[in-house]
Amino acid sequence: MGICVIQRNIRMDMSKKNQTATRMKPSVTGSRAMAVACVLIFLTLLTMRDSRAEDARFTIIHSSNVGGYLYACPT
Amino acid sequence: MLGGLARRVSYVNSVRSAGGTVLVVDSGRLFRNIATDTDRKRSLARARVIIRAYTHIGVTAVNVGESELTHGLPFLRRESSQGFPLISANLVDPLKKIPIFRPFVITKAGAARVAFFGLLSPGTSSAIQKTAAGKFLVKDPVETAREMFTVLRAQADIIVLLSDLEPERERAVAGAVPGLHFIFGGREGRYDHAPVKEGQTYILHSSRKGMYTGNLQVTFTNASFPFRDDGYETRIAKKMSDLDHRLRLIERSRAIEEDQRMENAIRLINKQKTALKEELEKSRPSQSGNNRFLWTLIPLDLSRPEDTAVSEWIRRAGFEKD
Repeated sequence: MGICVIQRNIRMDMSKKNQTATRMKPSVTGSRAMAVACVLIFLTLLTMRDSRAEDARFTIIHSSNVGGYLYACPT
Repeated sequence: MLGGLARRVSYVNSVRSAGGTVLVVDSGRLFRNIATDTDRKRSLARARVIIRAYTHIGVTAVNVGESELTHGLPFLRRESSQGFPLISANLVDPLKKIPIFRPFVITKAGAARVAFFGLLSPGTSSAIQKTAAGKFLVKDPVETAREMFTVLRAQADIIVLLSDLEPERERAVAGAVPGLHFIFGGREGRYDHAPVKEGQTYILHSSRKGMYTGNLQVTFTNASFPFRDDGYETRIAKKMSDLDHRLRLIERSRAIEEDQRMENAIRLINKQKTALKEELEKSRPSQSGNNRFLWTLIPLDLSRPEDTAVSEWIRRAGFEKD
């Protein structure tokens, strides 16, 4: 969607070629803002995908009631 | 024959060598109860061997249990100050009303922050009350667990209680603190091959006398989802298979001789099978998210090698097989 908006803005820029530089300025700024927004959205999506891929996998080894036993004992 | 400190250390090292993050924790009663021992010096030497071995394997947290207290607070304080990670959230100084040891430990396991806090039962034995009277207070475990949860939920993704509480107190804590993920217990030394689920909290015990070690494999994705027990369906399948086996035996006997008792037994088994199927179906919708775990009790049998360094420490300290 963002790309479409940029294209539309560029078309607008082209149609306004003959207009004064002062009137063109806000349109160019808008295009840039949209491009930055697109990059940000892309980066956010990329980060989300990465964090999902980075599941934490680990092991907890637990002991309880060892009672000071140093050697194996009869079951 | 099962167990042994050197075998335990060797097991931990073997899991570590397979790669990945490995955390080692103890729920308490790691040492022997020496309240009535006459040779105190030797009893403390035994505890020191265990401390050395657990330090060697990089233990993350050891909850102060009742038997640890029989070694006296000065001994425990000294070992704690030298880096042995003793924790207890409800063992407090009677005057200052602050914990004597660190109440919790937070450690990173991959992308997850894991918090361990420790609780001791207020029902300590009379022998300890007598020797340590006025030296410590044991705060209410449920109230302390609530306080700990409030502190830890902002700092950790997974919250684990290391418990030296009675099973009914563990259930009370799980009921009062719904966000608690796991309770590692074992005061009564139960052999529980399957986790006990209380609300969204799983309670895990690792038997006694160091015969077994608990192995919890965790996959963590998102703190907002509950954990799913990967062993659940396997256990239900095993129960179904056992029931099928019994059913086949009874039907074989029935082919030889008709008996009303056999009919009743078949009806009962079929009823149990239906209940298991329903249980399995009921559990499926709630198992959302990708957080999951697999709990296994590993027997430290004699086929496992012993860690040679630890065996040597035990031998040098003069402890013969007991």
